[in-house]
Amino acid sequence: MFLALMLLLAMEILTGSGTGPPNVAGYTPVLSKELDFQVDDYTTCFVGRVVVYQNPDDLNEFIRVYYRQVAICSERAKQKSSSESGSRDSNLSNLNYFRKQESEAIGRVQQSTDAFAYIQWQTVRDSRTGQGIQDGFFKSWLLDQNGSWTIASGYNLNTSPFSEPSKSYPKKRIIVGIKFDLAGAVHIVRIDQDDILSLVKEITNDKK
Amino acid sequence: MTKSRMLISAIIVSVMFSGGCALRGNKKPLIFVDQANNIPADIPSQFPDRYYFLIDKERKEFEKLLTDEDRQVFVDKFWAERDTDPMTPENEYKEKIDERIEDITNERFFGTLGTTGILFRSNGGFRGNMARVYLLHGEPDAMDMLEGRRFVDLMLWLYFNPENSNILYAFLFYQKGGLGGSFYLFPQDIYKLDPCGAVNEITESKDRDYFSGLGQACPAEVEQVYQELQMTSGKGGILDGYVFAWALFNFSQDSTLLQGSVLDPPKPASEIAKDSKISVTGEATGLTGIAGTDYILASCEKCNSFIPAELRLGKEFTLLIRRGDIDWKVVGDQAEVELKVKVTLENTSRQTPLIFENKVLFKDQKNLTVSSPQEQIVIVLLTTDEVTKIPAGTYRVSVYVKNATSGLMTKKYNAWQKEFEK
Repeated sequence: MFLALMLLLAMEILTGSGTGPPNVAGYTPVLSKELDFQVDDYTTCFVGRVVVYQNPDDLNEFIRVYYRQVAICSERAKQKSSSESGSRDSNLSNLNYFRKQESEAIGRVQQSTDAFAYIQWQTVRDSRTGQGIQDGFFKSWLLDQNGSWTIASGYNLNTSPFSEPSKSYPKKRIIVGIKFDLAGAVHIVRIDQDDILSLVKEITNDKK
Repeated sequence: MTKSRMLISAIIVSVMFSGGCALRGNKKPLIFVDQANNIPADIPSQFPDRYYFLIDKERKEFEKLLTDEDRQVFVDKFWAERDTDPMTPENEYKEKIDERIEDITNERFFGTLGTTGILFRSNGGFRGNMARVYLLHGEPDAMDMLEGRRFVDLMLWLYFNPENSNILYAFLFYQKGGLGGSFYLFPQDIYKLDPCGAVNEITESKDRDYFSGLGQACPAEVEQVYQELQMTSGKGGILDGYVFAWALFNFSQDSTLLQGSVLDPPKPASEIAKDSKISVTGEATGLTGIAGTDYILASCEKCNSFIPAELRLGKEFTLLIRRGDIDWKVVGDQAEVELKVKVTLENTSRQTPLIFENKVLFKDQKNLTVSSPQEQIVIVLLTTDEVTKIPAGTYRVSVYVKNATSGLMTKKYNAWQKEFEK
């Protein structure tokens, strides 16, 4: 009984308006990476960006923000064999050309993003190892599909791959996105499966 | 004819000849950075002489240029097209080629194990076979030399395929003129189907009566040379005679690859990238028209990529959306939105999921989208008729909605996953 009460206290959950996420303006971005997933060896889909901010006034405080964007998929160059291209370096070179095109497209779509999840935590210095470790303070925010924020103290966001039946082979499932959930609230960032199919079509036409 | 007349005639001919050359715009003498290897300096007018792997089209284009300014434009474009990493400010390809030229100047292989004493300058210099292979393909992954009593000196450069470690290129050089002669590339392509002819070609005392392609039996002496070749070890102890013997009539473990093709001027990296078909899909097309007149974009703070809405699953499947949370296309007095809708119903007893894919067009009054952005509208995703047709059961329902309004296509979206009991 006591334990359950403690747990409830530790995992305070709030939903609705007026419980918005923290403002990271003025915070220092310390880590930034794409929110992406692989569809197959050649296809990667980009659904957003994850940025970790550090509070410049309290260097032990961090906030990780998940941003969503209009989803895009990119088909990496299906490498020609070295014999076809006549150079051992051409695959690497292809990849570089592809990355340029890919990063330009990501840059364009990331001009319009929406923050949909936040995790705030603090660190303390571990006297034994000298490294920063979480001190137990932990707070998460998730924007649900209706556009309201769910807040949970002590809860972390769960993420899982989001799949649906493949359009080409309905008995097979295909990963189309990432599902975030927090204390019952859900936010799914995903792609349109037709965008992957259009890649398949392009490749098929190319081979004809 | 007297001696003086002959001299005058010679002078006249010489003047005519030199004048003719001048009229034809004869090239200035080349300026070399390495006289011993005949390596031209890196100046625009000498570009095709230094970087002689231009493709034919480029060479012709260069020849038409009259000023150094125009040549420099050409040079910049040439390198930009070959840049292997356009993401960086450096041109990695040019740097690599210039490093290789520097290596040739510095006689890179003179002190290398297996090829000790080998000089580019003694083997045709910058335009020789050795330099050409080095310039195009760089340092081999393995190299060695083979000396024998009955065959000329051989030198083998191997390049491995990074994808499968097979031999990708085997450049075999042979001392064509015998002892003290220069190393030339051995024409493996010619001898692909004539191993005996290949061995005969490298034999010290060739069998002059053997002719390739006449179906003759291979002379015994030639067979013996082949045996000796196989038994000999490389000078550097890196490659043995078996590899040299194989390389006499094989250029690559990839049988489709020919020596001639990999010595052709390499295709620019940008061209190869274009051929490889790379694509990025899903991006929204740019907005056309005037905001407020042709379209009205969502006014909510978090609607840059998102359509916040409540999904209701019942006799109908509907979405409740605030007017101000969605992008509208303006058509006269009306505002309209077209949603691409995908509803997937899965349950454990059905193997095949039920999938509904629709385009739902919703029309509203334009002035309401501006005056009442907080008011909710109801968009029907699945009608009562459609829901009635769904067999009874418990379903996991996934709904995906994307703004696909023609002429707008902002591609903002939302997705839900819910349980549904029918």
